[in-house]
Order: sequence, then C-alpha cells, then structure tokens
Amino acid sequence: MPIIEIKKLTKYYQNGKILGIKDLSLDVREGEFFGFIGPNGAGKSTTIRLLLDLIRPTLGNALIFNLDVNKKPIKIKEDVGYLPGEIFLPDFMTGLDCINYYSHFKKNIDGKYLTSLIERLELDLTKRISDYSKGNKQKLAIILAFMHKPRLLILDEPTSGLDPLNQQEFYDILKETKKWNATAFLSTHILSEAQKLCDRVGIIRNGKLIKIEDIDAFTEKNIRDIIIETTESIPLSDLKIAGIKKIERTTFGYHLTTVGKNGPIFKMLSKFHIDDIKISEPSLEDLFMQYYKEEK
Amino acid sequence: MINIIKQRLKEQRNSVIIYLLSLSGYALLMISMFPQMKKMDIDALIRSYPEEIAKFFGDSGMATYSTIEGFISMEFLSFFFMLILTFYIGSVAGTAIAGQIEKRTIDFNLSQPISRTKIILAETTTAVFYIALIVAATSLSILLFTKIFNIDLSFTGLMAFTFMAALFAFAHYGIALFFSSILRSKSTVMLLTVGISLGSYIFLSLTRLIEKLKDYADLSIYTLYDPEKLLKHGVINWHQVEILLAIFIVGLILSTIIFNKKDV
Repeated sequence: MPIIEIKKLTKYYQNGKILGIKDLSLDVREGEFFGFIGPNGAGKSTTIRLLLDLIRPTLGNALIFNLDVNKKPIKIKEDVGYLPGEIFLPDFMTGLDCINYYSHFKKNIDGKYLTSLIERLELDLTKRISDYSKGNKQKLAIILAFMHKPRLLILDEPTSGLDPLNQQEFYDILKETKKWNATAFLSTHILSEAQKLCDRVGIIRNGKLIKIEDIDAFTEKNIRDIIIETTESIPLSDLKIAGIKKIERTTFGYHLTTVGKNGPIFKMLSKFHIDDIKISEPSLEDLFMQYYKEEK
Repeated sequence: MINIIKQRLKEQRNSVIIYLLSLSGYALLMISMFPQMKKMDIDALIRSYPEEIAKFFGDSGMATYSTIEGFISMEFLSFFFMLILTFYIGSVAGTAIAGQIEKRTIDFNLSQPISRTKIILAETTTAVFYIALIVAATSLSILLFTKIFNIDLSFTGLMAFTFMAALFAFAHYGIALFFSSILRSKSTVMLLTVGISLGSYIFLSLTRLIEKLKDYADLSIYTLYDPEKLLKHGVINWHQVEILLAIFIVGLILSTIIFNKKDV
C-alpha cells in the first residue's frame, strides 16, 4: 500500500493567477525515502503544505495512509512528523517548553528515544527560542518531528541551517528510522543529500513533475560540473567525448558539464598542461536541462 | 485542546496581571476622588452648559457627577475601562489566527493532530476566561474601594454591571476574532477592533448632539452598554443580553468557518 498517493494535484494562488503545482501525481511506498528535488519556487513547499492540509488544492487530491488529507487530517497527522526548513515557534518558550507542549499532541512518546535525540543533537533546552541560532532551532525542529517515531516523515529542506557535523547526525537519525519502517518524503535542492538518503527521487520544476527516477539510475548519471583552469587551448575535437554534455570557454579555461563516468575525460586532459580542476555538483538548472533533453 | 488552553493561560498571565493592576489602580484613583468631586458640585457646572453639551455627557444628561454610579461610569466604566479592555481583546483575538499566520507559527501548530476548530475554541476559552476575570476583578476592586472610602454602591447593581460588561466584551471578542480570521496581521486586527469600538462610542455621543443622527443611535454597539443605569438600578435588559451573545456567537462561528477554509 502506498503511504502517499498524490493524484493530479493542482494548486493555483491568488484566484488562478499564480501557479503552485500542476497535475502532480506520484506515489510513495511504505518504508521508502522519496526525494523531491527542485529549485526555490518549483512547488516543493506547495506540495508539502497541501499534504499537511495547510492549504487546499485547486484540483486533484492526495491520500496519506489511504486517507484523504483534506477529510481526515487529524488522523493522518497523529503519525506524521513534519520538519520544515525554517521553523517558527513562539519566541518566549524555551526548548523544553516546546518539547513539553508539542509532545501533548502526540501519543506514545518514547522517552528514551527522545532523550537520545536531545543528547545526540547536543541541544541546550533551557534557552528561549529567541536566543537560539538558526542551527539550534533546526535541531529542536528535528527533535519535535522525530520524537513520536512517526510512520511518515515530511521533511522540507531539513538540513538548512545545520553545520556539516549536525547534518551527518541528522542523516544518521533519519536512516535509523528505517528500523520502524518509517517512510520519508524529503524535499531538497541538494543533490548529494538526495543521493545519500533517498530510494527514489522526483524532479520538479515550475510546478510540474519532470521525472521520477530510482536513485541508482539518478546516481548513475553522475552529473558533474568540471571547471578546468588552463592556459592551453584544448581542441574542440578532443572535447568530443561521450559524457560531455556542455562545453563553455571561460577566462581561465573551460567549464564542462558531464554525465556518467569521467575517466575518459581525465585521460584526455592528461595530454594538456592543466593548472587546476574543480569538480562539483551541477546547478539544478543544468540538471533540469539534462532531463529536458532526455524527455525530448 | 486542554494543552493549548493551559499554554495560552500561561502566556497571557503576566499581561493580564498588568491590565488588572492598571484598571484597579485607576478605579482606586477615581473612587478616592469622588468625595472631593461631590463637594465641588460639578453637576451645577454641567447644568450651566448648553443642553446639547450636557447631553454629550450621557443618557441621563444632567446630575450624573453627584452619585458614585454616575461619577464612576462617566470617568471610568463607560469608555476608558472598555477601551483598555478592547486593547486586550484585539491583542488576543489578533494573535489567535492573524498573528499566528503573520509570525508563521501556525504552520507547525497545524501540522499537529488538532483541528482548526479546536484551536479556535481553545483560544476563545482562554480569552473568555481572562476577559471575565478582568471584568470581575475590576468590579471587585470597585466594591472594595467604595467600602474603604465609605461610599454606598449597590451590590446588585455592580453584579448587573459585571455581567453586562463581560458580555459586551465577549461581543467585542467575536468581532475581533472575525477580523483575525480574514486578515493576516495582528496589529491590523487590534487597530480595527479598537477603531470600531472607539468609533461606535463617538457615534453614539454624536447622536445625542445631532438631531438628524438621533434615529441611528442603535447602530452603535454602545447602546447595549450603560454602566450608570446598571449600577443604579441593577436591572439586566435580557434583549440586550441576547444581542450581545448573538454578536459573540456569530463572530465565533464565522471565524471558525473562514479559518477552516483558509489557506495559511
């Protein structure tokens, strides 16, 4: 049984003037970690807000645990943990106040698990929310989302504001939820995060779902940006290697966008005097162009 | 729901104490001034004004300052008390929906397994409790201070005033909550609530001055609230009770319907 079923979900804002998402359909299976990738304004948060019944769809519907999100939101939310990218909590509360307050909405809080989360994230609960840094607010949000061991985690850019160490701790905490077969719906614009955590990814742009792909196929593409610093001129014929999708001449050398294994490219480059090479994830825009080309 | 009520009671406790102390302090000041004011024969001064201006001071027009009921109504309960209370009402009703949307705390609150209706009911329960407390405590302080200064004030009249003042404030809350459900800013809700209350009071006063407006006096909510009459006679007009309750309930129901349909 799918945990999330989204059927032709459409949301327009301001009486149809602004598109949020259009005809979005997807399923998330039980125990699956589903990554929802897209740039800011693509429709990721709109989808999440629709799933949480914070906003109502213009057309279509969504089911969670086989229940309509607009008709049975309370029943659904009993077993959902929501982690926003930026949490807004009453400033005057302390971290402990927040945990006490929000734990009353949940059933079956596992005290040991809650304590372990607090310890692992090393959060000082005596401070007021107004005194927390963005990272500490995010740590508190993680605790609030996970403390009741929910069946479904809805995570909206969950690592924003976390330093690399705490990001890793979060990844570990999330992976451990597989023990109770939790399902996760994770929106992100960080490709490596999706690759690390997800079983499948859906790619969204301008409110439309472009593609859903297994993470192995997604990773296989290994889309990379390669910045080459060289004073030499590399002939275009040498750059015509399978896997190089985009070539750009820059002031300091070349900017390549590649797909797949990069061995042949490095072998070709070894023939030239190269000052430096930087390899990074491509921008989401490049990723989308890649998927558009495939679609055509 | 109990959880939300407990939290709201805790959050508002300090501000309610400040309201209580301020209102009681003002009541003490007014009551302590009354014996001296009585001697000054302010009524004679008012009688020397043109009739229209004298009417501006209240329904009964003349001779209000010579009684404690008239004096405390004129100087405190008719307007100043309700104005201060309206600030509290605008603030709590504004926070209930619009303020939470404005501060974006509503997102996480609504991600919890609780219905929007229960959230409104919890907010309203807290507000109704504290409004009733502020009104009752103010009345109690008036009773206490009149005893201290050996001034006779009818207990029945004070009870009738307490009951009607609380209902009048609940009606204001119903209006303010409605604004909160359609707006997205707490300060706008506060301004509108205070503005409507103030405007309504000024309008009623103008209907006493301007003959053409006389027939429209019922448009002012302040026709449903006359502290002087209540304190003097201790008689509750049940028709007014029904209207005030209806305003409160309609406001609450409309806000709940709108909030339940609203994209936050």
